[in-house]
Amino acid sequence: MRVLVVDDEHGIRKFLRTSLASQGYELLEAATGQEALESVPVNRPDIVVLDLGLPDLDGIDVTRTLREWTDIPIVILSVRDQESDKVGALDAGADDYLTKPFGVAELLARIRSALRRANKPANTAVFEAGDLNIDLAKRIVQVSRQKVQLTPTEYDLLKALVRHPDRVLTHRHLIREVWGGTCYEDEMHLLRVNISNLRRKLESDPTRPRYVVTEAGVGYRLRTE
Amino acid sequence: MNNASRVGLATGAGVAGAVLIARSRMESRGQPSPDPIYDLTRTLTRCDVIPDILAAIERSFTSATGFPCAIFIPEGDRLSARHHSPRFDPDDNDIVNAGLSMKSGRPVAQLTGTPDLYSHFIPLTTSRDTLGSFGFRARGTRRRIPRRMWALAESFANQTSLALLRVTLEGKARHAGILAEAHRLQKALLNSIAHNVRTPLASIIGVLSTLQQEEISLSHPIRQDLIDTARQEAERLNRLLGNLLDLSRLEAGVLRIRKDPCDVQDLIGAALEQLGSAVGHRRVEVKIAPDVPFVPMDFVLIVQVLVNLLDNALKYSPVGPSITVEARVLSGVLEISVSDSGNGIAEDDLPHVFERFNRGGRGGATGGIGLGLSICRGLIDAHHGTIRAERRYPCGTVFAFTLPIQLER
Repeated sequence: MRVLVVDDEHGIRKFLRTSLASQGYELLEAATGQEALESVPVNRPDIVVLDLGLPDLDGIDVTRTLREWTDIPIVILSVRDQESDKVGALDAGADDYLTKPFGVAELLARIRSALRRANKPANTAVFEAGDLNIDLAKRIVQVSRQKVQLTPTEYDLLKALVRHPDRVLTHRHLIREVWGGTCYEDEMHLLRVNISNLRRKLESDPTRPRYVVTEAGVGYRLRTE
Repeated sequence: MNNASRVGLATGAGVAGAVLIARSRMESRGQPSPDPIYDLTRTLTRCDVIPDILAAIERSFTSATGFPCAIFIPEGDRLSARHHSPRFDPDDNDIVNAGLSMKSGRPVAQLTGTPDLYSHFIPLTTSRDTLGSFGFRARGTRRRIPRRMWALAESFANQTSLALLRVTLEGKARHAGILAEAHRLQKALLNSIAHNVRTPLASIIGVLSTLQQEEISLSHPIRQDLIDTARQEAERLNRLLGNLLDLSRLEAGVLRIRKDPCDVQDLIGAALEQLGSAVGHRRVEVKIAPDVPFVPMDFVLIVQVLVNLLDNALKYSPVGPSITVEARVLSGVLEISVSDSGNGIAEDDLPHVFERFNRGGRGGATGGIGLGLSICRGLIDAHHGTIRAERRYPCGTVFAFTLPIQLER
């Protein structure tokens, strides 16, 4: 697997080189947005790890430009921790967002799941994580082999999350997918109520959810690891 | 043309006598004022802004002398009448002459458009500089104004200078006080940052240098423990930085509060998730009353409040006993409390823990309580909620904040 790391900080590239190489990834590097845009079509990496604060282009613009022609997984690494930055990057087409500083284990997990999503056949009928089992073909949801009754909206919401496991889905994305609407205020409330209900039905401790994880101010993520 | 308008010629005692008679008549008609200066100084002690002072002076002067007056004070490089009697509406000539009196440091007189009526200007001087000019209108030149009246006018000018000087000095003292306070806060902030950055850095550098020493052989669990410590301290350092950024956003007023109804369970879960390894194996008990509704709040900011309170509790309480997070509805507001069984905070320090850079006597090695708690208060205030700290019996501290349940309009 080839990872393109785009970051102008030499120190960060060095530490990623060491830690990613030890996990068997082959590393490509770019220090500017322009280099990254030139490298992707030529070197064909499997995934891009992209810093937002590049000297020449903004990472969000790099993401948008790449998305014009490729579905390559993009994981953002940034010191910007404002929710609006995260939402901006995810809505531009990034697959995941990690705030610097971050732990290597966390980054490896995000890279793995982004790659898994990219390489997985689009329609798997059965989703499994821990004691959660979802059969999308038969619309059956089970927790520890016990069937769970969901309302149609709860099911649609779970389905939206299951379709992108381990990926942060922004509130806007989920609202669009489940309600098809754009009236943010009202549907935001519906989203929160349904997430709360889903947790009550799926999680053993809804206060410390194992599967349906909140990304404060950004959205939700279905955690599988 | 009237005799009296000829400057220097009108020395007759008759005119002065007439003025005195006019004045004593006025006194007998109005409020008797045996000593107008005494009355004025008493009034002035109650005035602390320039407009009030000038109005008081003008009132006493016209009632004591029957002369209309105007007080000229420069604003920037322009001189203007800051206050005047209705009967003395200063024109450009008056302003020029008031300026002349200031420049020369001596009284100046000028015949007005009305025969025999003069504008008189007495500079407002202090030992250090000239603050303006006191003007009044009276019949005749200075020589024809009775000595007592002139002396009275000079006394009024003096009182005006003193009052202006007092206000200016008070203003300067206040400004110096504000500067001193700002300076003190800035120093406290720097000290606090230095302390809060150095403490975790000390453990990180300590761990790294220990691991670097090849001659020290460490068992695997000890090694792991050291690394965990360094990692937790680094994460604490990162949270500190987040708090500092929030603080500057709060103070710059750029923090936008976006409220929508939120699930309290989700809130507590997100805070625990964010603390991650800082919670580690510590027991955190969560109790949410069944009647807690969705409550309007800015989710991200209130998560931040909860993270700060939990971080605090984890930092200041022993590893064994659990920390309790409790949410309930109390007379129409949501209350969320975080209780620990640490050493607690001294009763006297409790009201001050939310003040900036106060470490509430907890201080010491763990440091940094002030910043996080003052941000909590800032964020809760912005939500129109309340926050408090209490002693918990037999030991420990309870931090509790409330949020209104209804969206206020």
